[in-house]
Amino acid sequence: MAVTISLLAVAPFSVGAAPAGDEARRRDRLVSTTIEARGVKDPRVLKAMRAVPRHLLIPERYRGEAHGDHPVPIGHGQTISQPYIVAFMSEIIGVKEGDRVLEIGTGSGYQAAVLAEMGANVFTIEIVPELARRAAVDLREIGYAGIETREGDGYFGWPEKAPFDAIVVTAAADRIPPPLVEQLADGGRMIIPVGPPMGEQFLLLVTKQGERVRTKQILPVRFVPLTRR
Amino acid sequence: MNNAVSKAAPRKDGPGLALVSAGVTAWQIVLMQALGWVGWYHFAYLVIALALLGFGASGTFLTLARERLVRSSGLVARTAAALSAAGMALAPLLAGGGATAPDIYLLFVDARHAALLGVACAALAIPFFLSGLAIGVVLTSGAAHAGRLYAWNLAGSGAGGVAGWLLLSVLQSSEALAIVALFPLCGALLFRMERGMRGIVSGSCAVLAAIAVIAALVMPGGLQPSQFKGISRLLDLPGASVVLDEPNPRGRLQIVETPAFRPAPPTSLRFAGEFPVQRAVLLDGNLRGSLLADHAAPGAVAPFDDALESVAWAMGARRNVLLIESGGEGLAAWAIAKGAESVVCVEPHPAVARALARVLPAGATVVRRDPRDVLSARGVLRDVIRFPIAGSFGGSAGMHAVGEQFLFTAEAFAAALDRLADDGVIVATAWTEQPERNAPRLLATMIEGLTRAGVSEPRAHIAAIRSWSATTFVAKRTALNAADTEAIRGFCSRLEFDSLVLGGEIVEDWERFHEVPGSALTEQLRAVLDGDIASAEAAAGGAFRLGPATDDRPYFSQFLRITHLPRIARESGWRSAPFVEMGYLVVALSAPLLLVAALALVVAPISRVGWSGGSRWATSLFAAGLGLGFMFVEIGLIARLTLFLGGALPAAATVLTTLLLAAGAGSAFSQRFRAEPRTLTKIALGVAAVCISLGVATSFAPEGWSAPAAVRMVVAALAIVPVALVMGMAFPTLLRSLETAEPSHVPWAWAVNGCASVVAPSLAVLIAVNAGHVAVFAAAAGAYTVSALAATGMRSTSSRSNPR
Repeated sequence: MAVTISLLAVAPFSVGAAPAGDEARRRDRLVSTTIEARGVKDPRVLKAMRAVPRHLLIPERYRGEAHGDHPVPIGHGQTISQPYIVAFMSEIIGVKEGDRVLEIGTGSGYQAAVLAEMGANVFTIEIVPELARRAAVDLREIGYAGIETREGDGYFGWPEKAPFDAIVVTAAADRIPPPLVEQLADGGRMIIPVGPPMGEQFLLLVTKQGERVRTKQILPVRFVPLTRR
Repeated sequence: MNNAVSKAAPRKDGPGLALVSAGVTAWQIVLMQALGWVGWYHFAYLVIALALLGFGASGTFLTLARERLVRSSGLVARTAAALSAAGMALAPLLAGGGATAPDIYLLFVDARHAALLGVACAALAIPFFLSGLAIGVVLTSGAAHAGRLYAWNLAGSGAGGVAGWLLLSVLQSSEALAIVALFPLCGALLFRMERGMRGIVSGSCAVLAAIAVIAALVMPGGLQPSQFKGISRLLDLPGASVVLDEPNPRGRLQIVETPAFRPAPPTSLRFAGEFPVQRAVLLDGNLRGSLLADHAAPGAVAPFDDALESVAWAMGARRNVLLIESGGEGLAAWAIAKGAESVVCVEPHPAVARALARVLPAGATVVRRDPRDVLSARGVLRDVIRFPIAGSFGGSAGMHAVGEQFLFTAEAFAAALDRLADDGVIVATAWTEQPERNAPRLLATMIEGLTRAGVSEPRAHIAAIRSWSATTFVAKRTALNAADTEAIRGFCSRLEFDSLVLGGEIVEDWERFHEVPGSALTEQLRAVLDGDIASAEAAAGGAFRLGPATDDRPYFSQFLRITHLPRIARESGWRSAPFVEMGYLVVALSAPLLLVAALALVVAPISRVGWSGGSRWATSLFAAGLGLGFMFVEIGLIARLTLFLGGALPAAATVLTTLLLAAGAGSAFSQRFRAEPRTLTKIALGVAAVCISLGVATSFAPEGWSAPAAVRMVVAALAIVPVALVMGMAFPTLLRSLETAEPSHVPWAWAVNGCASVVAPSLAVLIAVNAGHVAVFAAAAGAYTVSALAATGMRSTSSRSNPR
């Protein structure tokens, strides 16, 4: 069954964040009623999803949307991903404590924060300079100073920090850059949404065993575009 | 009263009338390209419908306020033409200018864009309404000079089509729109000047319009492409800039440079080199291909070594290679490096062909012709004929679902097979999607092509291999032999691709490297190989059509059965469901919406005048039949001639211009007939017969005929003239008949005809997509037959004179 990874239920006016306790309760409800209910079982993923203050990585005017199961605009035509997809990708990639994980497409920094909360050493690259700078500041401010951020073209990966146990690509692609495959450790896994930036996509899991690279289609997803504001 | 009016309407209004008429036709043509660049190709049909809506509404308005308008005909004509000019200059900025522009992709997720589309349609219909009013009031008030004025009107309309085409040859569409607005402005200035307050009012309007047109001329470029178009997404990348922007009536060419654009063919994950940076080639804002910065640089063409399509080279030496719409020189350079003596790149778009010719390596040439012409032409037999990749990546080809694709039809593959050397292969690739649609249809279309080419066991001639992102099919004139199969297996094993179809059967371990859990792909392909399309469709849930595309139904990217949309919506949510096949849905939805608009703006106001007498249904049916029939023929001809004329816009320009001119001449000629129901029946039956023959005749458009575009346009126009002449006779004869037998029916005939014309383009597209082009002509014949039957129920002049 197809999964809608994006909805356009964006309030047309600024909505401020609720008090911290309320936000935690909302996150807890989201995880229980949506993410767990839809099949994400890994307790470390669920714990991380409950812990990361998603609302603090969202532009202030959209913070009231932080705990809906849909993406939210973060500027430059980009979005912070739907929570379910973040949880699903975090589970399927099988991150273990201490794993080195490369993320391509920092965006808001939310996926990086979830991976860091699961105990991974996270390295993240963003091509849009403004987003890269903002995510670096936000992640530091909310306590994820250990995440290494970088501004640049994700095509090249981060050779100085390779090899990686896992690579998470958050932007839809029509090809898998060879440097990313190269920088994947033996036994490493890469999750990547495949397809056009709008329309139908599927999540692809890439695994590397020695010199052998295998792929597996995981989940069809459909993208709904968001209004650029 | 009429006599008095006629005296006030000197024949000097002819040149002004011609300019206004020219503006209307030219604006339609330029607007189609402008909105196609901003949004999508579907606007072409919408522009035609809006033009008819505007004209229909102006006819209704003229009917309701005839006396007052005709009394002030000079003021009305001059003012309406001037305001029309202002509207032509400004309305496109509202419809395609950033914040106020509707985005089709957002229609189903953001109600604001549905409202914006409504506003845009209203804004675009207003210039047509005003032009229609200016033309209508001049023709009505100048009844004494009707023949002469009508001739100016027709000449202007025809010249407008040519002018629109020429303007798009030298100017960007945004600039051309402003230039076109000068036509009705100059027309307004040429209309007779009135004195006193009326002169001041109309003069002021002309001045205001001149300011608007000059502003649009001085500051063109207010149009902005949708954020989801290729051009927008490329310009979002760092360091992106447009290095070439060239106008062309067949599509605006833009070349964009950015260090982050690294396209690649479907390539093995074994490839460890670098995908080179390339320049993006875009047509009307959509990505068409890419050009290497330097194909001789080390590693520049290395990805092709590990590309899926290279399987054709693994099967044997390839000396003569034909690359159809390759979109770049990379594959040509690679083929030469692999030993090709001749590589011919077929590129129908003149500007793209020029850009390609500048960078092609020695040994490669570019042929600027329609691919189907090249495939049908006699000459060198090819070792490889490579088709462009079918479907947008990931299966979002739905935006193109209602666009004709004559390259991916059974006839095209049959022609390609005929041009192959004995050991040559056709290579065609489809992107992967979920559920699979492109690959099964591509296989079905290739098998149908082979069958039409006389191959008795097509499955033995075809092989398929797949990567994580695409499936490539190869087809030969002869059955694949053991050596071919061995070469394909070796190629797949080396590059970790999966063999999918070999020896006419599905390969058992088809998921050796790339797993697709739960996929129905093999069931679909097995059913297609067995010729059982119904089972192939059922394997994927029945929501998608997978039968072969043909020249009669050349909609390779149209899959969705609209009846299954609710199920898809239940599974994925209503907001995302339309994205399965947006283009088809937009057309399907536009038909009822346009009907409502036409009923509200054209028909409902007429109810104020009422009507009396019998045979109202007969009048309505006759008028509706003509409206539907005429537009079905128009849209059918545009769709059908797209192949012959090498594009939708040249087809639209040729058909619109010729139909206007010839139908007008037919209208003038019809004055010689007695306006009786019997005459109407004969004319309608005549047109119905011609429609059938037209559908059949256009199925035999000459392929492989090497003639310049202009010559083709003339030939197409000459073929249309006889049909259009007869079609043009029907409505004026109806009006003359009603004038004497049932005068109160005249405005209703106009209104019902206008209403049917507005909704007909969308209906024609839906018929073409679902049943084919011949069915559109059959529907036209049916509509005219209904008119013929309706005429038998109409009252004749004599029956009114001698009421029973």
